[in-house]
Amino acid sequence: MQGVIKVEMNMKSIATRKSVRCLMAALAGICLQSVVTGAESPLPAVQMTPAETVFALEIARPLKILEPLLAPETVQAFSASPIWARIEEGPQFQGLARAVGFLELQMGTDWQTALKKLVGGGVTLAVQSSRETILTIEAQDANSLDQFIQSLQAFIKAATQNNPALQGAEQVVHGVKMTSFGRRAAWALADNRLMIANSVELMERALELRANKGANSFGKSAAYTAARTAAGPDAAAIFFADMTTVRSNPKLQQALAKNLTPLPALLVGHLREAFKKANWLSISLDATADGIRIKAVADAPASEAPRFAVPQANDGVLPNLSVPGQLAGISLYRDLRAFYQAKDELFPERTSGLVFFENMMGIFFSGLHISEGVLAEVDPHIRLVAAVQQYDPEVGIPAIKIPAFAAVMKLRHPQEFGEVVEEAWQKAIGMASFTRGQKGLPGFLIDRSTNKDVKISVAYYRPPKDADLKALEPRFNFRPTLARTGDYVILSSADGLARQVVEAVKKEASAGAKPLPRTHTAAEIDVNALVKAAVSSREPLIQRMMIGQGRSREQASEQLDNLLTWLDCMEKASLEGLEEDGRFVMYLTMKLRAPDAKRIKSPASSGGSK
Amino acid sequence: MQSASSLLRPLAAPSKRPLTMNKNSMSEPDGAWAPFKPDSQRPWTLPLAGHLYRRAGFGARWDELENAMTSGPQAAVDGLLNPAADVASFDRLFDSYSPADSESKDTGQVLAWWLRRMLETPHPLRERMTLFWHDYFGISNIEVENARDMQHYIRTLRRHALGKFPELLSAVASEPAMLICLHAKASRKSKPALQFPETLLKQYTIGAGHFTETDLREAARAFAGRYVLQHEVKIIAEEQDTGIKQFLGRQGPFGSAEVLDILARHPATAEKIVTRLYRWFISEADTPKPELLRPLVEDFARDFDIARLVGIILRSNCFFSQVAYRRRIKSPVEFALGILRPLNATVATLPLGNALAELGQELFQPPIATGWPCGRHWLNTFTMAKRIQLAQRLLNGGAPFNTALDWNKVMRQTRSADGASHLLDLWLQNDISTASRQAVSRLKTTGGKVSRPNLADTAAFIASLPEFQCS
Repeated sequence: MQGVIKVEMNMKSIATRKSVRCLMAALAGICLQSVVTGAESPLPAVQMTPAETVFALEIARPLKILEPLLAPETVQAFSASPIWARIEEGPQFQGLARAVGFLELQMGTDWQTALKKLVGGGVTLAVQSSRETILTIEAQDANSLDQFIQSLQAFIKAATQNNPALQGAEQVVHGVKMTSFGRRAAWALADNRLMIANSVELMERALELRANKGANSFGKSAAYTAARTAAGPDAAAIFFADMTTVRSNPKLQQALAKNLTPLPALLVGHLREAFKKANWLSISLDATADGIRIKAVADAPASEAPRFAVPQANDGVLPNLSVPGQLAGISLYRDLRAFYQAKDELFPERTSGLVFFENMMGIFFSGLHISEGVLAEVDPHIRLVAAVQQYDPEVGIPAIKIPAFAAVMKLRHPQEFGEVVEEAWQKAIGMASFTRGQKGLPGFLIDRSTNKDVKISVAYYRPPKDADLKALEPRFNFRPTLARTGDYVILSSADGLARQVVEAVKKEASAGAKPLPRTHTAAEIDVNALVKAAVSSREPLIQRMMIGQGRSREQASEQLDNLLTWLDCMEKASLEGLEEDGRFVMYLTMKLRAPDAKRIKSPASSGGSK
Repeated sequence: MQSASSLLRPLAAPSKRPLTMNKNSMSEPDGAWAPFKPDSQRPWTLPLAGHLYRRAGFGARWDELENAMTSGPQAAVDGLLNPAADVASFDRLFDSYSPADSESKDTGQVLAWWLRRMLETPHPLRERMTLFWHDYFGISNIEVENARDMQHYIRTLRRHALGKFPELLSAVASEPAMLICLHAKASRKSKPALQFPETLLKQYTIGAGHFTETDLREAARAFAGRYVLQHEVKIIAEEQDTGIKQFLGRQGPFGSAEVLDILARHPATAEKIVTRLYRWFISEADTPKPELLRPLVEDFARDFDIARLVGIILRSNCFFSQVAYRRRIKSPVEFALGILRPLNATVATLPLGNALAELGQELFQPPIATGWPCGRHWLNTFTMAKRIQLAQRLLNGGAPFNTALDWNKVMRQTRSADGASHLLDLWLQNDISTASRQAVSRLKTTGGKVSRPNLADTAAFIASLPEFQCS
């Protein structure tokens, strides 16, 4: 689709598409009309939508998004990807290619430039509670829009010449010519804009607001103004939701009323409570130098949220650790004691389960109370790390490789409580070994070593006699490890990762890392590393798709390649949750790049099964 | 909806009966088991070909039916017993898929791969027989609780499914899954485990009435010293009982191998297996007279060759007669695969396994020690409604089964005027009652033009017919 394509127009084949025909027919009725009427400086499109708007998407700076997406190197890389190859094989591609070619021919430029010209002024979509919707597309200039409309004239004539009814009824509403089809569709051109609505009433109101300079419009409402301010002046796009109306949806009410299980409650319970009280939600998008940044703001006072996840004063999460082969890291600020104290409110249905949990913890922690004696000893700064494992060939390499995980916790009284934790860990390993023995399965051996200020206890399986050390069973991915250094205790699924985390913690201590103020959650994913790990685990993933989705081997392989291609577009992603101006804010930042088929190159299929 | 019992009555005669009862040939046992030789009175017909592939496999593809019509019944049976395709390569590929985790008790993935294997195998008769032996021995993961042990056990069944029974019995008796299931993980000389030898004698071989309490205890002594340790069967020498034993009228220092051999080659064992295979391949509805089975029993008892026995049954006059035709209710596995395999469809077998469990057949977990109850027990109001629902979901595509089915390709196979006719030929060889035919014709089809949603709905309707529930 690069350059100008010579097109053979099959008018009938295009004209028979009903949806395209309707749109084109409508445009025929309004083409060549006076474009600019009314006010000299056009109102923002959001000020031409009614105040009762429930959802609104305003792409105020489309070029910020389009420029990198449509850059030649991006287009070229995408065209070389397996995803594009699949799209080209699709039944509708030829029709799309012809339409785009026609557009290029008529606009006298490539489709990328044509698209930028047509939508470069902005796109706004607004949805009312009655599902009435209005779409406004603003061109970069009047000429671009005119050129586009004119280019469709011949096209439209053929579509409507036998169906005059499709040309619609015209009327002038507040100085703008509007074309309508019954009461359920209407179009108008005003101020370099093409406006399309699925309701004549909505279109009339929009034009009225335009005539009244947006008085009492959605765009001037306090809620949207606040959301726009929170999004920042440079946001390329903003999505707004009126949560008061949205929450009246019965399914959402039911979902919000349902209690979370403990782990989700710990991770996002405070955000959910804010969500329940928010008046509005805004999600904005901005393009950065090498990716995008999404900001979500909920209008609910953070001061009313459960306190276990709200940092005090200038406290906040510690920066994520960095270890070789890291896949992901999460840094949390969670006061575990405060969390457990709120358990009756957060998950009241699980009280009997919690009683069992408390009793078990009492066994592991030798009679200490779970809240006052155990959780109170854990500092709110908690970090988790996932990394690709490095295996020692002399110890053995599993056939199926599973990443290693580690939890890093700071203790308030590391000297005393560190030993309590170690004792509890040894009990847990012993219990696991005993339970395995009951099933005739091998248990763990434990090694403990002390090196300067680092104490490491490793539990591991003995490889069976005559085992193939290059293809051990999956359980050999697990070498549960407890490491203690300074104020920290590290629980890991593998000793290799535990040692790396110890080094990272020491390095951090010597550099004097400071907490990120008011930040309660910070997560990072190295998507590049994740893709590499998935590529090295192709075969199990393909087999899983074969039986889980009914794919043939070739289909599963292709589907996996497509998924990896999409993931390959993202190099890294990070998520930050913090308190800003009294509200909870989440930032999602993605570093993007053009996909490269070589990075996800699939090995030759072994063939056989259909 | 017809009752289960009504489904097992002989069906009303269609205008052209595919089978003609030759009463003379059926009254003599030898005549019953003589090879079926089509003639003008008893021609080789499409319904008979379909009947063969339903019983010996999981339904026939259209090309298989056409080939069978061309080659005749004996050649068709030969092809089922000894397929021309490269079965060894297929086995290597499927054996390499997803080896079970030695510590997981979840057999979901292993089950899913077995269903996939049944759908794609070039040797469907062997998979039928593997399923037969799985039902015969009744070993359940509810007791075993280990996916790898169950997978190993099924592979052993498959390896010997069409071999010699003594070798099969010896192999499965050394499977950890069997010993765990029958509470024989540890059999000590001072207190040998009794449940395993009891099941072996009563259920797997000679049966009640052919052994005494003494025989049972002596058999238990012979099996002493066998332990399941870390998922392997090991013999602990000091726990073995090497003394003289009196077993079934014989005397000697019998060990487990000898006892297994004696039992496997006993005439009563031959009779038990022949009777079970009669029910599996011929009829669940009728109890065969001993005289009818005697020729089979005597022949089988010569060397306990399972393939030869199955071949005799499948080639016989009895098999291709009203005694056998549609005298079985399809199990859930046969029902689902009988829809998919003829259409050459692939499907997500993970959720299919769960769906079949809801219909009463969860592979790897026979509900009782003698296997699945079968027959009329497969059908009740609930399971019939579930079958119809399963058929609709399989044929309409979409989650969770994601059935990949090219309806256009299906239609291109046939010279039939419309989709409904082709499906009736493909699945039921157009042998349905007048009432069923009228019901089908009332459906709105697009007659000649393939319209996928209509054809899928029609197919689901045909799969709900009483005739389709019968094998």
